[in-house]
Amino acid sequence: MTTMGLIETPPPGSDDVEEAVARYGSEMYGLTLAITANVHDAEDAYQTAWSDALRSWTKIRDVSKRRAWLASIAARSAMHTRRRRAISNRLHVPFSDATALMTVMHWDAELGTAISQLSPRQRAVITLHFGHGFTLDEVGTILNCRGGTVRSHLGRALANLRVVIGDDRD
Amino acid sequence: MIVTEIDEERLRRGLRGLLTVEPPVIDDSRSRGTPWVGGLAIAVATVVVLAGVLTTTLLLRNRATVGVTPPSRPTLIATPEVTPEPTPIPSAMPTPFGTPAPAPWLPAVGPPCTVSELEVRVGKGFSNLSNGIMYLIFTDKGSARCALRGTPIVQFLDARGRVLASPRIVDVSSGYVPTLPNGGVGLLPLSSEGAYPGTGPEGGMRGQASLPLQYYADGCNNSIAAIRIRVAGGTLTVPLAVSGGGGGCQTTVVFINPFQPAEYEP
Repeated sequence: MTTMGLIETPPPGSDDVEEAVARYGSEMYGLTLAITANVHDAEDAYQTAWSDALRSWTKIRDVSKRRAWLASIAARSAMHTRRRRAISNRLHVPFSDATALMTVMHWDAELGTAISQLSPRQRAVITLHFGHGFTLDEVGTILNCRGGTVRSHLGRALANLRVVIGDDRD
Repeated sequence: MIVTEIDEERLRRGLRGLLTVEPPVIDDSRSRGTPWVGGLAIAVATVVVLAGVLTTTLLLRNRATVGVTPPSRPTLIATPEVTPEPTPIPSAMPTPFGTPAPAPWLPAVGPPCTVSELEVRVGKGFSNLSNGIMYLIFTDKGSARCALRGTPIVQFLDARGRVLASPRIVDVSSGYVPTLPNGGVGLLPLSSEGAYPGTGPEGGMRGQASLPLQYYADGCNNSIAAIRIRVAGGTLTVPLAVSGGGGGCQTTVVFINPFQPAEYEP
């Protein structure tokens, strides 16, 4: 992965920006993919997330929290992009399946299809929990909501996944 | 329907795979400036363009309306005497010099006019029984370009020079005729060639501006003998009389429009 440009114009005190991009870039992009459920919006959200992160790079002093911090920024950016998409979809034709989450998750398209049918918040919760491996409390911190809310989202997400995957297997 | 238990290991495997997808190259140009700056620039540009289109439309309408109106005899009995009173009233001056003019008919040129450079007379007017419109014509007698802008303050005087409590005077931006936005008009010196319509950049009488006064007069309360205009840092007074019509006895109302280019008048 290239990080062209970041080396040329690093923000103040950001000698580890490139390392962070290399280390967490894929995770952030995967999270935006899961939440937006299509490649176009995910790329947009990913770019915006890094833009936001670089602007406030020096605010995060505890490097050990950087991963969660970046995940939080990516999730927020993806949610915002998703909301804009919901509005613009009233006026424009939605994207084709070629860029949809189910196509990206070619290794388990059935699961990709099922995840696509969840709400963005539910997708964020299961991705952060099962994908990133964050605890539910950590997910709550990242998504800026309470642990109980996270558990509620997770429960509904799993229930919906059961129904969708179960329906497919009838 | 058979509801299967979700295989969490499958979920983990599938989602972890998603987190290893190659991300796109970061476009660092986004991080160089605040995103709203671009949006703001676009918004400002859009407003400017729309304002220009709107202004042009209003100007064209104004020209068309004034141009097609057949000339008729003035409804005012006016003495073409000008009695400039060199009493500057800086605070009362409209003063918008330096304010960006939204595409006036004639481009605003030069500094604001001073009262000593100006001559005022009553121009042609149109009436219909108890209402009508009259134009005060301001002529630039100076040697350099100057500009009149905005809507001046006016007062009506009776025959003894007292300020009349009536008529009610209202500043308007539109009314009897389409008026220019309050950006005003530039005056060119009379020595300029081609003092007839159409020779200016956008038409109009070179070296002259007009002040349209729309009025609703009456036939019983007609004590107006003169109009006093605070303009260009001074005061100009023009004798006039509103010829009362047969519209009944009601309070006279005069609507003062902003300066606009003067039409050609012999």
